Amino acid sequence: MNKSMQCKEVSDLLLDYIEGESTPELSERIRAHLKACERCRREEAEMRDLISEAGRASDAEPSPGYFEYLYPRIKARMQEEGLPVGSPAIPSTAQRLRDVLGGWHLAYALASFLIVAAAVVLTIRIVDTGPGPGGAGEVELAATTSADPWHDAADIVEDLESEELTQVAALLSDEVYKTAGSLLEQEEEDGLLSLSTQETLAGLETWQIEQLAEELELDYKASS
Amino acid sequence: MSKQGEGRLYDEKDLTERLKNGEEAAFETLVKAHQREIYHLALKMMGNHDDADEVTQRTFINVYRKIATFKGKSKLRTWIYRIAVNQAKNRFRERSRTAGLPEEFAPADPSPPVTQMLEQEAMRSLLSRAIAALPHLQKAVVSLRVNEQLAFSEIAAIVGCSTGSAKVNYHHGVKRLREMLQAHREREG
Repeated sequence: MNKSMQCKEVSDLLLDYIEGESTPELSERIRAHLKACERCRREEAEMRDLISEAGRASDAEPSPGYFEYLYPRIKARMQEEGLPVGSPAIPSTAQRLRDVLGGWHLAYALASFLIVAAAVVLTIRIVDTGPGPGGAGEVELAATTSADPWHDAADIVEDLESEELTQVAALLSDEVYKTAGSLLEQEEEDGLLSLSTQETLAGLETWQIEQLAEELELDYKASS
Repeated sequence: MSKQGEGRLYDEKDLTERLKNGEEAAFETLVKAHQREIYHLALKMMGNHDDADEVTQRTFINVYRKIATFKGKSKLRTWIYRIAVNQAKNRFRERSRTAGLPEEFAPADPSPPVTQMLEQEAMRSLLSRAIAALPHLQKAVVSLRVNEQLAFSEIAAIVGCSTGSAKVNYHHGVKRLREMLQAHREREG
């Protein structure tokens, strides 16, 4: 087990070693190799230097007074945006829904909301692209548009309880939404509809979009 | 007492409650406690002051807006970082849409007077640009690790991936930085 290590092997494991992520046994073997190998010692020193300098990069302070005036600037901006600091925090949308719905009713409401949100984004995307040279078959459901429904949906999902998320995921786990549903389940723990999930929702196959469009009675054809 | 910032201490649970009650002094305490670390994280991710400033402001505004949804499952700081990382990602998307740039590309000054700088400053400048040019996830992971020395598990919670994925992205990011640095040194002779 105490076989000496080759330089390539050490090089591959060096970062874990530096970061303290190696097992004690492996660390000991790496240390032994470093003691005997000048080239790897140099590589280790370079790596440590790189990490240390990377930590200092961009540490330059902004203009004098920046941090002193940051809070007043944020406060003024919030006032402009109709969110004055000092007002009681607004109950989350999910909480408001929970107050009047609850259990599966909330799950149904959110699942419907997500489907409608998808339709809105889809509509925007189709309007944006129009019939292009590649045909409408190239149209993708794009969550990267500035459509607010996604943000609203993310806000709601963020505040769901685990059980509620599971219920929503189950409702979304039909043929069209199975990918999104499984991801929602994965994200049950931290309760966040992450951008990656939004992207997955955006990555639905064309036939799924067609099906969705048909269900929602949107005027959309994949092949023209 | 759980967090130190700008020389003052606050109790996280108490501060969260006060924030949820809309107490202005609590919000000011929070901003002043975290403004430097959030700004520097944003600066690393965006590569320039203007975008870092915008991301920092949006982060705190969103913290205020969403505090009712914070359930204390993670540390408050982890939650704030997660908002900051998402805000940076959104900012990139906006910029790439308006400028027609690839989403992962961080526009950086292509020809800063590196040779005129001191060697260490040159290296930091180069690294700063190199970090800003990393793919988004690698950039976030590298910045949180080298700047804030966060554990990979905490980084994973912030960026929304597994601990293993955070480690892999850190490895790829550091390897890429090293390659960039070596290429630069070869060019400079």
